[in-house]
Amino acid sequence: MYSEVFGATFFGLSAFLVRVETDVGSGLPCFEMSGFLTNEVKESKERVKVAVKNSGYELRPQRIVINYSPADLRKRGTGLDLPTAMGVLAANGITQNRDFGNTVFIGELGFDGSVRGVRGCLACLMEAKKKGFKTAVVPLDNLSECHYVKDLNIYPVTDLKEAVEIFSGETLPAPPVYEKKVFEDNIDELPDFIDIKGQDDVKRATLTAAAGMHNILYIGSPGSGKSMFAKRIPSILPPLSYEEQMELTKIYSAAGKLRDVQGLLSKRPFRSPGQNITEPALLGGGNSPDPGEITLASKGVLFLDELTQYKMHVIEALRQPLEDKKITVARNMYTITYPADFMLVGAINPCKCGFYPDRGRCRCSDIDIERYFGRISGPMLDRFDIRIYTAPVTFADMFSNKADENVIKDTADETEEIFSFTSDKMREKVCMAHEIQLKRFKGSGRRFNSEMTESEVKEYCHLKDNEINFLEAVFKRFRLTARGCNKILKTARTVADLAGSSDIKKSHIAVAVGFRNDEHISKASGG
Amino acid sequence: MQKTKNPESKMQTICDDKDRIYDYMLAMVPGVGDVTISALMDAFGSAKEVFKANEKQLSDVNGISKKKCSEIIRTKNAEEEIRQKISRWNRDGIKAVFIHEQAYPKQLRNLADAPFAFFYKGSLPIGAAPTVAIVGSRACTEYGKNVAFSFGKRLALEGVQIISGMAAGADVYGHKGALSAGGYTAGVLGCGVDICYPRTNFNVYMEMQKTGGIMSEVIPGTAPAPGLFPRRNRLIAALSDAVIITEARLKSGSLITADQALEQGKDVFAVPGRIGDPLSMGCIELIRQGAYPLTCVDDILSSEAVKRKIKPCNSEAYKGQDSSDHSTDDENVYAKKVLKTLTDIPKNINRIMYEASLGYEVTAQSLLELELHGMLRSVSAGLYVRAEVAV
Repeated sequence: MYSEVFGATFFGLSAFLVRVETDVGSGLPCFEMSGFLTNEVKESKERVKVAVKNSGYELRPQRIVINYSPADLRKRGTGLDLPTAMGVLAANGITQNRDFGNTVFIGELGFDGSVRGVRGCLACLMEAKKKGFKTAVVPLDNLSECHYVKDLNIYPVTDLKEAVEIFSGETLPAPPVYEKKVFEDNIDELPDFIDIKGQDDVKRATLTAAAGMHNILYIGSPGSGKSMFAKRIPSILPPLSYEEQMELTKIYSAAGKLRDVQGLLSKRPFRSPGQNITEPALLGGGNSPDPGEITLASKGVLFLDELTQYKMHVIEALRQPLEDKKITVARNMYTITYPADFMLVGAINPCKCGFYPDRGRCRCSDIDIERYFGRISGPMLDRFDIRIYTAPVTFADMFSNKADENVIKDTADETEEIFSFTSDKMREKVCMAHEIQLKRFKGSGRRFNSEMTESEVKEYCHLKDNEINFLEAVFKRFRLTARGCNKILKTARTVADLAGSSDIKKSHIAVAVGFRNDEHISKASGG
Repeated sequence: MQKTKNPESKMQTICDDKDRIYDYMLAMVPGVGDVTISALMDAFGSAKEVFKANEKQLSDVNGISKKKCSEIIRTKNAEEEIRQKISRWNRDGIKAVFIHEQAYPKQLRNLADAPFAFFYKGSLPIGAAPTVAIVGSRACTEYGKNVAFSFGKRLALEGVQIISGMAAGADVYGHKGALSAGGYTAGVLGCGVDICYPRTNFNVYMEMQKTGGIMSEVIPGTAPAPGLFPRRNRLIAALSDAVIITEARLKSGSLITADQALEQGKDVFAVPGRIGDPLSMGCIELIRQGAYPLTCVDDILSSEAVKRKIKPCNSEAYKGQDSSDHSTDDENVYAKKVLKTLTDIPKNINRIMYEASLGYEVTAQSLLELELHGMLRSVSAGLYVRAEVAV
């Protein structure tokens, strides 16, 4: 007898439906599978046979042939166990021979007949919904990520028998209803900027970076708090929208990194891969394509601590994804594109000994510094809109309880508001700036000032005569490049947005110039 | 600048005087140093005669080994090659002056081991003009940079020629100061004059060729080597009437220069730094040994060696520059407040805004404007110092 059951598998982040065609007939007993299968799918025949037996169904010796269609796409993952078992049972007439055409089965089988969680479940269900499927049978383990897929009847199961029983009646039972939790990013769990004393300029730079999603590089001696700043960036980024949560969960689901997560991912990722990371691990790739760290950092922060310690070709490979916000991994067997929409945060010592410019301790010559800094190419350094030096924290800063030190009375200029740097307050500002940018770029496909094209810079960073003269003086004095100048304008736009100003003023340009440290960076890197 | 006009501009090039080729050749014999050359010159009278001599006559001279002898012969045979080299140097603006020539700096003749040949680009310092060397640590502090720059500038305005070694740190800031005042400044290198070492000072190297000079006793093309620098230091001292040490560690090249200056009977001025600061301990030690503490420009100008050469006409030059108030709008009020907080100790913007009690954006703007006007320097790491010390 013959049966047709649908399963799904994923490739990269996109899933496709798999038609599992089972034929049971007389002949020498065997279990044959075809359809371009990876090892884990091929191995499923043992799991299926034993699980079926241990679930209490008896199969007579027979010739079982299974084909997975479309036969020219590589199938991976253990999620095809369940549809295979269902196909075998249906072909044997053990389930009511009903039409499975509207149902997709996903799940891994254990020898005891239990159904276990799989990778990429969310992507598969989203694809099934798109293709018009009405019903899905998924492992209970995957329920928390799945039940956010709307308009799909989802039956979570824990073992094969349960799955069979759903289809034993004349009509399907009503799908169980689960309470859909709304996951809010709980900012309290994240480290707070209030822990960092002093260093207001760095906080301000960080705030600006988050507000415009500018890449930021912290330069400072060991212990000056570079990583502390980086780790606190997620706490000031706005909460993820529902769509962003879905997208992110899909990525993590495909990467098999959802094991301990309840529901959708609500936290912005903070990825800090170690210095020995390889190019495929960072960008994505491998035998069967897995997303790399830059994809896992989507909507969040990719933090590279001690930037000079990474293999340089690995760091250089970031240049393209940083521009495109996506990464295309091309291999012999496949070409695949992953999203890579992250904020790059780097940290680096100013020199080999780490203490420059404290000449009492640092005896690195200019050449030494150049050699150390020069490991990172100019174009890569250029990708950082904000390059801020973290001054060592003084003892007085560490132990001062003067909250008002953050609130410097600006007697001269009332337009500048008094601000204290806590994650709460900073996040409010970032949200506000993000909203301004959302309005600005509506319909253009861009969301942040850092992503502006040349023509958009011209349009949105319009300067008055006074400011143009000022910028010209800066341009000449610091021997800026056209790109450097554009970067300054982009950052200045964000600074102005944060200040709630529609015009870019001199002071905004000055702040952006100060954040970029063009002269020193180019000197240090030998440019 | 009339006084920097090159006195040797009429100096014979190789084309004018056929015999100069032999001077070049003599200077270029490998393994034959200044002492040997001087012995040869004593024996034969001129370089031309040296190369006319046969092996027997050469080896009769005291101190000429067989090896040196054959090197001289070999150099004689390579005359055509050397001619080409020299014409290449001429094209690149590299000149040479020899010890028996009129144009040879008198100050160097007093040295026991005066170089036979002195190569240079640009022009040589004038012996009659006051000349001060500014040297100091390569890894210097911002204070050291400012001191070197300010003295370089102020002294240049007084018509003093500034000599240094074009090394990183104090040296180059001394040069920069003199250049900013349009004065004459010369860098004495430890390598060939055609090599910019360290290459980070390329801009200064190029500038100095225009209004000052680059000079060296080694043959052009010689790469920098550790042994060459201490020898170079004796030339810096010899060319100067007084030597300023801005900053020095207890064991440092700057102290070698100071020692050599003292041996040559030059005045040594040390900038009294803070006690306990490792970069000032060398200077403090010098003062203890009897060097003059340097506190202001007048200390130098009133010292005997400098004073007698100074022409009074230049002394008003600085006064005219002082009126820095060009505009008085609101922004200037902030800028002045910010400027007041700046010292030689690098400060970052947090500290500056706190001390000036101004907002961040205003402070950033003021700092940038001050920097554009050259009234402050942003040293690395987002730190700012005032551009000059009032000396």
